[in-house]
Amino acid sequence: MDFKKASQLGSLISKDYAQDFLRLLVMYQDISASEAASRLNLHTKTAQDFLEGLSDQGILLKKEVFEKKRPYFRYSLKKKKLTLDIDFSTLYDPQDRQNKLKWRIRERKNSNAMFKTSGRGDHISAVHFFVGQGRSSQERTLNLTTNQGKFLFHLPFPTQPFKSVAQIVKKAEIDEAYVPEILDIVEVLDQYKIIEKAKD
Amino acid sequence: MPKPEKLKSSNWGMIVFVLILVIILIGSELFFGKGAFRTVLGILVSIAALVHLVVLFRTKNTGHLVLMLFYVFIVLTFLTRYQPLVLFFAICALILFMLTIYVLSTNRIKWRYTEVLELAARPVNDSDDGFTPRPFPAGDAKYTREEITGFAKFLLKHVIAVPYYEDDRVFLVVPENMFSHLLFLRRDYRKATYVSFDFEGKVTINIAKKDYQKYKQELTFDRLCNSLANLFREFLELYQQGKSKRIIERLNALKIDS
Repeated sequence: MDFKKASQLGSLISKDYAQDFLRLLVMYQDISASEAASRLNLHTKTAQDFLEGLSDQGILLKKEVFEKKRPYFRYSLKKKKLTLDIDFSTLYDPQDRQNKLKWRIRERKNSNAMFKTSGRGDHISAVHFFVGQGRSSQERTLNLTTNQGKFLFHLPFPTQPFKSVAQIVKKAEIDEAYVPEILDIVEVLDQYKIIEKAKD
Repeated sequence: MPKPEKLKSSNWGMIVFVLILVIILIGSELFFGKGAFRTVLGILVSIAALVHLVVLFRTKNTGHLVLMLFYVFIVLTFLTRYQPLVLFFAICALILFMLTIYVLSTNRIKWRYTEVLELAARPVNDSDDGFTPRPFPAGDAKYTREEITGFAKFLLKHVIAVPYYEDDRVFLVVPENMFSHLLFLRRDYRKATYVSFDFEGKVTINIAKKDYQKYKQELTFDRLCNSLANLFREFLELYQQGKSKRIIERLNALKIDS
């Protein structure tokens, strides 16, 4: 199950009325939104949304029926057991890692970011920058891990030639195991326009 | 006296400081009479003597001893009532005054902030800006821990830079106002302009924004940092070769009135 789907399902079954609702679905062969709502003392719209959500997840079977030519839906459980299987490793794409290691980057000119050095002089401990403009701008601080700080210390200055992420990692003598967290901070710095990528 | 080529020339800070002192002295005489004038002068000169005493202990630069003694004898001349002693103190003050002129004219206690920034900027001709408050990794240099410590003491003695020692490195701060560092008024040296030498041979440069803004042009920042590192590497090599005198000659050769 992909993470987004799992997260939506988690949100549905964490509702206060979810347990009672699912008990009804187990007991009844099929049920409509208004029947379930009246039984559980919920608003029909709330019951309708819950049933639609479970139907979208593929847990319920949705069948259109007519009563005096007025159509409505009845829902029944497809299966009475559900196993939640989430593979967290899918959240990080190794192919994406190879691409990002090739990014040629340097600090953006006039990025207005402030860099705080740590006790040891050869790495940056935090980056401060502002998000938004004018009165609504807000300060954000990124506290860096030691390896992210070492990476940032060796990031080329705005007037220096671009360097690939892999080259900077090598220059900063960062272990391969820490590359994912380096790529994460590179992505964030790119998002907030603190670094720039070479256009090639 | 020639003006710096790369730096803006501005002595407003010192001019304002001297003006304030003069106003205080004139004001004390005008509003409170001669007695108050003597007291205020005595206090101001005593403070000056004390400042030079602290700086003398910190830098071991004998130029400050001359200035301190000069101020002490001025105070003694003004405060002593016994005429023969007044004459003796006045003669001593006069001799020390001439020595003070010598010390000042030979740049023995001159802060080298302007010269250092000027020399760092001379090889940089591009003005592509690119300022960043990040420290600049400026490569390596060859030295032992003892050599770099000795070099730091030499720079302090000749008021070129103020050293701050950490477990793994020495920070050589090049401040505009040496007194703020020498009199322990300022301890936050990480935001100042510095050259740091760690004990594994790595050189790091930081140029403070206010110092960068003193340049007439927005010099290409990484080149400026590199140039400052090269300047200190060159000074260090001269020190290692026992040619420290040439460092002072190099700074004096600029003949900058700052």
